[in-house]
Amino acid sequence: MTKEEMQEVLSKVLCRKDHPLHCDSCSHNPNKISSSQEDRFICRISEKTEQQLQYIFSSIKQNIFLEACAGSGKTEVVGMKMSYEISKWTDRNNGIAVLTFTNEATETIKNRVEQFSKLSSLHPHNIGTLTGFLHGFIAQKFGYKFFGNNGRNGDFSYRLIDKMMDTFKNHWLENYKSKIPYVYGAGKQESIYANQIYYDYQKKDYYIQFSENYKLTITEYYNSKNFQKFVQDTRNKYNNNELYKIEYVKKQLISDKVKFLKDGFANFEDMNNIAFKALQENIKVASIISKRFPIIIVDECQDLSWIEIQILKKLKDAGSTLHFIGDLNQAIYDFKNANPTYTKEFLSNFICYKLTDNFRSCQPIVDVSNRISSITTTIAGRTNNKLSDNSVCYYEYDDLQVLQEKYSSFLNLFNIQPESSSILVRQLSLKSNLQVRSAQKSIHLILDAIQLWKAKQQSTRIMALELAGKQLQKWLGGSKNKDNYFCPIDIKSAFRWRIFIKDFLEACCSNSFINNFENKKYGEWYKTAREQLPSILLNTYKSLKEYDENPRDFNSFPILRTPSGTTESAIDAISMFEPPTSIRINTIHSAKGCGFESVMVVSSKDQKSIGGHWKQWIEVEGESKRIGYVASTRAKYSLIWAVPKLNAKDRKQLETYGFKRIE
Amino acid sequence: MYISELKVAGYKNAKETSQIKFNKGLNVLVGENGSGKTTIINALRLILKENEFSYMNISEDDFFISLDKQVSSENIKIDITFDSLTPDEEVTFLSWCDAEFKAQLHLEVNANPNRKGYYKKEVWGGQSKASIFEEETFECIDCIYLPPLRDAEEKLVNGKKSRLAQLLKKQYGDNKEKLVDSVKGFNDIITSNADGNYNEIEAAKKNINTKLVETLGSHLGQSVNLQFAETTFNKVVESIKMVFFPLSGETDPNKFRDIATNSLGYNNLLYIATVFAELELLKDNNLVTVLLIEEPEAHLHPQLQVKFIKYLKQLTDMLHNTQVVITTHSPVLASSISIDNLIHIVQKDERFVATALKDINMSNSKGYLNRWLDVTKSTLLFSKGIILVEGISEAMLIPVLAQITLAKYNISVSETSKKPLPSSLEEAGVSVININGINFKHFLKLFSDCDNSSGDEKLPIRCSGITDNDPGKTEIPLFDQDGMPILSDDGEPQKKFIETYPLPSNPSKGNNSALALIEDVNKSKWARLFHSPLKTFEYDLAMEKNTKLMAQTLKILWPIENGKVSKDCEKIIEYDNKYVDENLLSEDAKFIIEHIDDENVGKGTYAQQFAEIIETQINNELFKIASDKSNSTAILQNINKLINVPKYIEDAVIWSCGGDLHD
Repeated sequence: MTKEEMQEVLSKVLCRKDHPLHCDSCSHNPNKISSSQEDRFICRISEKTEQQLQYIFSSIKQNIFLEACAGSGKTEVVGMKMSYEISKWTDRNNGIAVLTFTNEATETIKNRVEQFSKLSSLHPHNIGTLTGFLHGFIAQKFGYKFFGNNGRNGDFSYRLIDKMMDTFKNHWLENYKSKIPYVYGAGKQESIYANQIYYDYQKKDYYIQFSENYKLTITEYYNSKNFQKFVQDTRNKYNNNELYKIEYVKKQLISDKVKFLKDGFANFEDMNNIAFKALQENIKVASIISKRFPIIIVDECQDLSWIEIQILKKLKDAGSTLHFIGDLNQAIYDFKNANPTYTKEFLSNFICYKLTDNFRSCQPIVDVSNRISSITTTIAGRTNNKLSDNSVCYYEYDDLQVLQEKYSSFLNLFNIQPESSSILVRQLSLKSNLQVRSAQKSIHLILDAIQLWKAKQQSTRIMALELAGKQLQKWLGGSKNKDNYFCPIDIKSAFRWRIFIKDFLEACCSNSFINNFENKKYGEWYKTAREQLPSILLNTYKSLKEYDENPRDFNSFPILRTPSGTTESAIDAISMFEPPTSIRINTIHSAKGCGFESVMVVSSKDQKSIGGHWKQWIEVEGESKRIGYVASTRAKYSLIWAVPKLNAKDRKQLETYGFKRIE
Repeated sequence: MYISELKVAGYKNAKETSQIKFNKGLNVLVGENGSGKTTIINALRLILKENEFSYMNISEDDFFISLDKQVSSENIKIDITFDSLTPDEEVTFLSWCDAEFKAQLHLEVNANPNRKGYYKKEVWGGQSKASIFEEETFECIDCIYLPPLRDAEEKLVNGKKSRLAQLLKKQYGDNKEKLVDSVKGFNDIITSNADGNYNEIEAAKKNINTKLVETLGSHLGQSVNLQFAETTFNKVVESIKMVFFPLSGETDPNKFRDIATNSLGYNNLLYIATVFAELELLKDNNLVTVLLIEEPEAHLHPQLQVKFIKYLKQLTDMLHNTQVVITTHSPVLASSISIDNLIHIVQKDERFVATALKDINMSNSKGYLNRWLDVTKSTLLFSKGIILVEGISEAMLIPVLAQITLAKYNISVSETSKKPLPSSLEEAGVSVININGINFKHFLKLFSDCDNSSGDEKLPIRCSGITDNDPGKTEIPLFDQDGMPILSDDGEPQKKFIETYPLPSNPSKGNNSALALIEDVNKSKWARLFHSPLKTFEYDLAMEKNTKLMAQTLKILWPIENGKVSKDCEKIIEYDNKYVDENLLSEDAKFIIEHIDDENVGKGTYAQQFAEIIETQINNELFKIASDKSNSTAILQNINKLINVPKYIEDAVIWSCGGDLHD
């Protein structure tokens, strides 16, 4: 079919077009759907490229890999493909599954499909997250039979427990504490809990997750220097060489894990394992799921882990057709065992479709991104180059804290809205270094709360309630957690508590002594506050009293001390707080799938963390390069790399890639 | 697929988990009032979302509450299991399936309503709450509920509750437009008044509009139009009502009359015809259909009841996806269907106990029961207790003797902690069932293991059997006038057989085959079989020194006044039961028995007369009870003196009424 023919067929199905006009010229069709407010007059069907249309018309009987470069509009294409297939769909008891990695992506695709197909319910189709699908249709449904689960009141669900769950607030975890300790230094021991342990079908061994970024197989852990020392010490102490043999250690840890599962708990890896085993043990499970979902479309397939691919393979073997959509160059989930090399191998006998038009970025950004990642496919940047030779720049920084300001003035210079721009960082720690001062860290709770309350913005008021709540709960018996603005345990109504904080803040604001920070030192203000606050508190407490299970009279009023070291400092005015219009700071992972008019990618100062330094983005094959690629391809018109001070050689290197230096 | 099991807890009169297993096809629920039949129907309606948006929402009354109102349930749990899913259904109902591919549906309601008084329902499928549950699957099940017919007219005239509207809605299915369009068209003709045929409406409308402008001015004024109330499909259909003409074949629409003028009986027929027409539509429907019918017998004469149940049986035999659950109090209905379709429901320990008759091991008695469980005998399915008797005499006399027995029992327990029993069999809900012979084994298998049957399922209600000892006849050698034995042709001495009248001091071994059952039956939880110690019911009654009253009765019935029989009766009456010699007592008893059997009297007539005499005397005594019941013990003692009830009868009565036999 030619492009025009495809568009004709598509518009008949999707817009129910009933006239001979081609969609390019048809501007009055009431069913016409526009892609966004600003492009209102462009028909979404006529704007599709031939490549996009070819995929929409591709066969749902064949396994297909749609290799979609960054900014290729793949979500739109998946939405339209899905709508097209759904419109032709007649079966009521089976349908297409579209699986994504985030709830946002699910919502976006659902929205597109609803716009096109105008159905009130998507049943029998399923658009949802891959996790929701694997857990909900396989692991939770069938797992209890293959992994044993004692059940609670007839419910045989597994409760998903994070591997790094805090035992401090979850005392029940003590039931799953292993006899085997985590030894991480001389005399340094912690407990290992069953939620930290999981089996890896690929490595065919159990792993223990010790911290967010540190895991070892049991064997590796057993042979680690620290644990071996512990074993030797124990053996010497009891004069028994039979103690802590590897078989014993393994057996202990595995039996802890089994108990954990039997009691209906599982971590994320367990859930995938359960799903995999259910499909492996009972051929009927796979066969019925693939009958229920004869077509499975996976968006962002580069993020699939090894085990997830194995599960999908089982469904494929049982009869489902797979459509994988994604960009292997954007695989940045190595830590969850997503390996593009393996994915590529799995896709080797899939039919390959390509989207090589990048609608997000201008050509210079596309070129520089390709160059750093050594991508040879020709990708066309379909966005205008607005900044000509300033599109791709680098900036050398000394002080992280001035970056925001520098970036702001750059954006200002080129007339780019800060709201549509973003600073990208690899690590959360870097993000917090960039942020100057946030109210969360406030030490002057009441004082800051009053200032924020006076600003009368929705966002500042929420923060004010939080800060004041944090202080007030200390005077009312303490709260369990920060829910409901630190609502104390004794207060029966969270709504009343909120009103109480409001009343309190209002009273503070109308008190001319308290509400006066002009040219004052902290010490002075606190002195006034100690005199004024008790009566304000007693007054506002009156209406809260009947909701207080433990009514109080504040006879011995707690003292509000000046936080140490601030007595002599002048009071910070409200301007010290993050202005609401500041530039967003995102991690590279959270910016996946997003686009910004301008992006500043901030390199870490050193190369300690993997994929955080600009040199790694250019030189280190594998995930580091892909992280650099993902970050750079978020930019539409302007890309800036903020790097630590360079030497001449490094400068030269960056400039040969096409970066222009800015001051 | 069909519903194989329902579990209910905390709902209506089921506190503890109550369970019922259903058959494929037709299920007829039988049992006394308040046993839980309606609870079962309502639980099914609730979980299958029959009538979701009307009155079937949960209210406070739905939660179990104990009779003393002290205990109420914390939550309602209703669970159903569907069995025998076809391969297609396994796919359709995947999200309801457990790991064995049975579909499970669960409903939980917590007894704490939200602030608006609404109870939140939690519905989930399969074996784990966390697995995916698709609400849309409810569309694949059709649940139809026919309430008990209280007022046929209401269901036939127009309105929301109209069965006729239900029928029409089903009949129209998705092709509603034509009807709606024609009504709308007519509506438009009236409102537009294009032909000038509806000038009056036009004029009225004009007047109103003019007044509106006059009073409110043309700025504020509104416009009105006049039209039929509603032209939506539902409203149109609900406006259609049934009219009738008493003879069939009438076509002139003017002759039909309003059904309000029809007799109640005929309206019931019209209603049932409408229901049949509605059910007829099920034949074109390939959905899984659950038809729930409560007490279809109300207002239906017996022949029509039989026709109705046979029709349903035929319907379920033909439609494999249709399951019918009926509740009934009608022995006619229960007796006109195979016992395989009957499920007995009884309330025990704050839950209902359901027993499918087909699950009771009846070995070779099944055919017999199917044939002989007629209208009178089916009463046993609706009783709280049962006394099975051999013949008409017992059937008539035992209810009267029971009053005396119960009076005696209640005196004896009045000083103890034991619970008194009701004062009569009717009050106790106990039925006396005449099985016309000694075929006890067939009936007792419903309650106990006997006659080589064994199994766990029994009807959990108390059942007594009363049978005769029936000693064999006594052999007497024959002698001639000379006192020599008379020899037969082959030289053996000739004998004759005469009735045996055993004495209490010398009882004879019974010859009744039913006696062999006693040992097994009396081991059971629910059944006991009692026999007369000496001979027959009447003889044993007489031998308890009741000859005076029995002779009085005989004298009244004997056709020849002042004849020899009357004279002999008078002698017995004069003797006033003061026997010392048991031979003499036996003689008199024999005299009475022989004359009862005489064709001039007959057992039935005698029993009726005897019962009447005792009953009159009992009533005379009861009449004397003072309004403050202060003399009731004395009166009970008087009643107790009226007649000596043989112990085996007493035992049978007390057992069937739920009392204790052994102190």
